[in-house]
Amino acid sequence: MSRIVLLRIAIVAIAIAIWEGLARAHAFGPTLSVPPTVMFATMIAALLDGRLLPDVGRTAAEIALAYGIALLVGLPLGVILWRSHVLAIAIEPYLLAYYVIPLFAFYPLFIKIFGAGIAPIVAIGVINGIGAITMNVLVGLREIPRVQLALARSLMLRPFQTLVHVIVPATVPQAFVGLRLGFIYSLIGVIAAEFILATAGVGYRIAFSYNNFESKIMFATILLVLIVSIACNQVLISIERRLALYRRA
Amino acid sequence: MSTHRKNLIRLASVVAVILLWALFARILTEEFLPGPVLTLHVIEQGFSEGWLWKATLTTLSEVIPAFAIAAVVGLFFGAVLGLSKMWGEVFEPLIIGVYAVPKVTLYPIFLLVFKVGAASKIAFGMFHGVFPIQIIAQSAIANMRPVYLKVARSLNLSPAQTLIHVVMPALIPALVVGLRLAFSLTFIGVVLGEIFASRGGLGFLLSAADQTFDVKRVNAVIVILAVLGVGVNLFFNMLERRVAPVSGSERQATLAG
Amino acid sequence: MRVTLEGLGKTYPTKDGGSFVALENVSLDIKSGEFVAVIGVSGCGKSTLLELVAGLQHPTSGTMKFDDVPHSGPHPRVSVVFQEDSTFPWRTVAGNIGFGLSMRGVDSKTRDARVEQMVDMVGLRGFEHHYPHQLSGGMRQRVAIGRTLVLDPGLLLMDEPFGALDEQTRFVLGEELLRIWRESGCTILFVTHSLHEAVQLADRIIVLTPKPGRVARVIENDLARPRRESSEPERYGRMIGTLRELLGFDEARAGTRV
Repeated sequence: MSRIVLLRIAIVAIAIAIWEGLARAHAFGPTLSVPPTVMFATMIAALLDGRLLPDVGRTAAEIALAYGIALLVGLPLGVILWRSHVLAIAIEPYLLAYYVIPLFAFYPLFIKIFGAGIAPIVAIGVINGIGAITMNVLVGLREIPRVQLALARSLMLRPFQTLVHVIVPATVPQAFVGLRLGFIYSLIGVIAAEFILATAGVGYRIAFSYNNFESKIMFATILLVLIVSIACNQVLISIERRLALYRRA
Repeated sequence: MSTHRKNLIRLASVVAVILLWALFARILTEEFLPGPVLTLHVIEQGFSEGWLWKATLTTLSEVIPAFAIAAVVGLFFGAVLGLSKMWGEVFEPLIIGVYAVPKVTLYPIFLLVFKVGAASKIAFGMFHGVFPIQIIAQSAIANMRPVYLKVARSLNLSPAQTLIHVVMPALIPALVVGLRLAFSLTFIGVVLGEIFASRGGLGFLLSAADQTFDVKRVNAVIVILAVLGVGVNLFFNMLERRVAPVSGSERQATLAG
Repeated sequence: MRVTLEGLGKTYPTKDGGSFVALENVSLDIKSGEFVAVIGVSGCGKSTLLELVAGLQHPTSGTMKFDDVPHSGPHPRVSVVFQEDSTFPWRTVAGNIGFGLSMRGVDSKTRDARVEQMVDMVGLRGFEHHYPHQLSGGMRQRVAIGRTLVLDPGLLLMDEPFGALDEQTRFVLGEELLRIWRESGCTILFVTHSLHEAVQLADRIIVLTPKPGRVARVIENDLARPRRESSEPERYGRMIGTLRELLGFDEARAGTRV
């Protein structure tokens, strides 16, 4: 293992060790001094005895739904914006707004439109994720080297052949960035929405245990979310890197 | 396509959406969905009666310090990790890992540490904004053209002169981009924090209005949030345009998306 | 400025614990006001030599004397023009040229006056308030030359300054450089890989060979200026031929070198 990787592990390990020590010495006050080992143990216990499973299941379902819809709408939307210059320009003001306004703030309107229940939560997940998917598909399509399209024309490829053999392979690396970010943002959106809108789910569980001073289960659930989101991101990044190898520098 | 025509399309698009909004308000009745005119009226009321003005000020009083601290901390660590190739490499995946986490899940920790006052929102907002600045600053410093430093050395400049007259100007275009992104994220973080647990600010106002089914106020807050967010961003965009073509910066990969 | 190099050498430690000799035992005596070219194939150490004289790197052996005074590190009367574009994009042409003067604390009146002079000398009148991104590569190198010359250097070091430019521009700038050289009277040490450039510009041509980098030969160039292939084709051609031979170009045909 290279020196750099060892250093990383060392840094993380030392940080956890310091936290462990301080927490055991109650340095953070009664509620906050939960040592990492206790967090981890509580998390495993709660998963094994099923306490956390309903929440995990609920959140997973919401994320899957939100991400699925974001893909279904976002992918074609990216292609449409690529084909229509006018639409792409028309959408620019909203693009600017998309990244700078707390889209989350629309939640009361979502509740009005979709009712209570999981729909507004899923809606927020969709809205969070769809931007990254659409934009990266669009950028990927726009960045197809013209020379490759010219080659396809000169070889007199049929539209379908051009699509399959030129357009898709050229777009995949960038589009995948969008797929990864879309997933992460959908996940973030869903969990954030659960904090106040849900009656179940990991976000709800964290908020609930915070309000009821159940710090052990709160930290355990937070730890679970951190581990899962970091793991997902790493897996997706490694796929993205492998795809990026096929790109031109 | 000319810029003129493009601007026309953008303008038409915004106008179209506002008209659609008004149309839906008509169809669904203004009780259910207040339209643009009614919302503007409520906003005006909110400022004259003070509740909207007060909330806006509270939010800004949290966003601005959060942004300032994020800028300083981000620049510092960006510089440190950018100057040392090794440490930069060591920390990079760690930082990117944290960046991908739903930061809202850590909010209860902020609340426990800082209590429900402004400090927790400032800290939480700063936590959102520090990452883009740090990442961009680190990248800009690590990738600065080496010839600039060679020129400085050949002229025998002191470290202070090199920093002020060569390094800083070379970095400014990238830094402005970083600051723009950081402001948006800080803003969103603060408002989020206010929605969940707060006694004031636009987020709190939104949450309170939602709980009392006051859709008029909800709309009003959304519009104010939009104006604030877009307004500041346009300011940064203008700054970027002034700084970038002069400095011929390579386009840093934006963290957009 | 007179420059004396004695036994100059530079060795780098390699990753596997060994060492790489970039330069070995380079001794040169450059007279004041001379135009000296250093040529050699890639990897012969010519850029290293320049960086040593510029004080950007420290020699592992040997000494350098400037006007008979030993010195190490960047010398205040030595200026460098780099191969790549070194203009600061955030400063105008005038701002770039005046940069060194500003940093040395020269007052603005004097500085502005000297910058004005230099703008004319490098042929950029009318572009003083332009930014580098608005200029061509050749013009940007003029700015770099202006920035160094305005400091009135005794020695001007140039590391393949026209390397990134097209042939036409190279020729024009070469002639301009000769004019500037005559007007300023400074000593010039000019690194290039172009034989024609060396013959066109220099009084003396130092040929370096690689592995390890050392001086193979020093050639006196006494062709009359301005040097055109057409005015003295035989002598010109013979000089190019000698240089080619020294650099081992013709061995390539026998397949012994790349």
